[in-house]
Amino acid sequence: MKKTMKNTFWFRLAMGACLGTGLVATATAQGWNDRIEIHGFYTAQASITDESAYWLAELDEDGISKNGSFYGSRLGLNVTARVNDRVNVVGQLISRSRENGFMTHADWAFANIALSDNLTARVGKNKYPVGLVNEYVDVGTAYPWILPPAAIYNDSMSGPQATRTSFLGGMLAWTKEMDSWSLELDGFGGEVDLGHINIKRLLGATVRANWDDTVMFQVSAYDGIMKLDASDPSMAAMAGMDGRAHRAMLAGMKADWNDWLLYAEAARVRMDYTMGGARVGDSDSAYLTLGRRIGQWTPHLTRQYWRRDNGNGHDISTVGLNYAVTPRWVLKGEFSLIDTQGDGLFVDTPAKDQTQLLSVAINLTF
Amino acid sequence: MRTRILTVLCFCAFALTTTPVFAGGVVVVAANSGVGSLSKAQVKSIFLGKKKRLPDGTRAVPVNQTEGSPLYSAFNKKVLGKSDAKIKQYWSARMFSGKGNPPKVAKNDAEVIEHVTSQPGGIGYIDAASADERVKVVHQFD
Repeated sequence: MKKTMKNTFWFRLAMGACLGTGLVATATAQGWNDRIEIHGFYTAQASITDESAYWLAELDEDGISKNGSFYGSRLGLNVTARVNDRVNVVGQLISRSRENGFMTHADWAFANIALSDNLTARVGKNKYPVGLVNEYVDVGTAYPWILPPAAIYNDSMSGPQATRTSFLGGMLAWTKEMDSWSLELDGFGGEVDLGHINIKRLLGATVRANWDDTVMFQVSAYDGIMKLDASDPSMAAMAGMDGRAHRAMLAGMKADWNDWLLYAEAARVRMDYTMGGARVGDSDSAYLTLGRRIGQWTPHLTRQYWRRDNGNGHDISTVGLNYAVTPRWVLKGEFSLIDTQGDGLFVDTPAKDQTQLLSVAINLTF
Repeated sequence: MRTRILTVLCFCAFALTTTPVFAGGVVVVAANSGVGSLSKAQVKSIFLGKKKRLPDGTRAVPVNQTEGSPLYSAFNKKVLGKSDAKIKQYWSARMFSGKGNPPKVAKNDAEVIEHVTSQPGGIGYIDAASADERVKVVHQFD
């Protein structure tokens, strides 16, 4: 509990410092209108399975079952305050649908400091720069799926844990433009607060090579130490994880060429922890998505794979269809077949080996 | 019958003369700017937020035309090389990860000229016919 309070304190202090500096500086400067920008996004989605056991449950959310769910519905508000030519402060509030209504929290907030035209320092609560779409994973208009592939984009304790929502710390982002290519290198360090478990001494790097914003290759690696909240009785069974290493490597490519879309990504997660003879945290996962824009329509197919060393896992096949009413407003429908080994991402072992999942969504940006 | 055909022809001619037709666009800066001409790649980098400065060293402050206007779509296609939808997706990804915001939006050519002449580093694009002595053309697109 003490550790959580301490983390909350440092997070609030960093957030307060970032936002306070930005707002005070902008308030005393001329032209609020020129210096502050507000944007947002909204997703309303509904999903249903043919299974009683809940899928994608979280601490405060039952997840999706045959009873239907609005899991994943969210509203985000993004504020940028430009302090001067070299410094701006950015923050995002997000309100997510939960079993007992909506839960609002600060998704991330950091100060962007341009050290030179090619080098930027980011300090505060940063988005985790790992995974092709992880930094904007809540913005439904920015990718084809309703539910981004759980094989990579799921950070629950029972999931692959390759990506995280955010981390508290600093990042150095270097970019280099070369004709049609751009090269980016993000080096980051800090800690991840997951409530009852933290990842301390986090160090990582992501390299991106981008050709004309049409084809992008990305590789990431990070390493940290897991620290458990010893005062929480629910963590007792996992006490052996305390102080052990957590590391991951991810590689992916994304292409948006001549109306063809391709996303391919793979992750390997390793946790230095054994339980019942299995390295329960270790997992390998991958997915491949192919799609094509036909006017305002985008049909797409995804196949994903995820296996944990303890035998849990999923093979998921998804077919989806999107309709872009405008570039800011996209309607989506998706149908998936989820083949499960063990519990997978279900709360309990599902009654059948294969579960059907149907989702519909409206995505907006403003 | 002849009267009817004449009426239809007159209507078509009227419609053609009153429909806004995009003839060509120009990228402009203030007439007193130190910037000479810009290549398509330079304009693209500035409007995608990748280059922060103009060649004369001043901080670039680009301004866009209104989404959905013929000039906006033509600029996206001819200069940025992307559809309106791809541009929207590009900026969504950058904006909601805190990496940058799209250029501000002007309602029309007059507002673009007002923007580029009122602040150092101002750069925008307008219909070629709207360019006057207050601005300098640094790039042309059809």
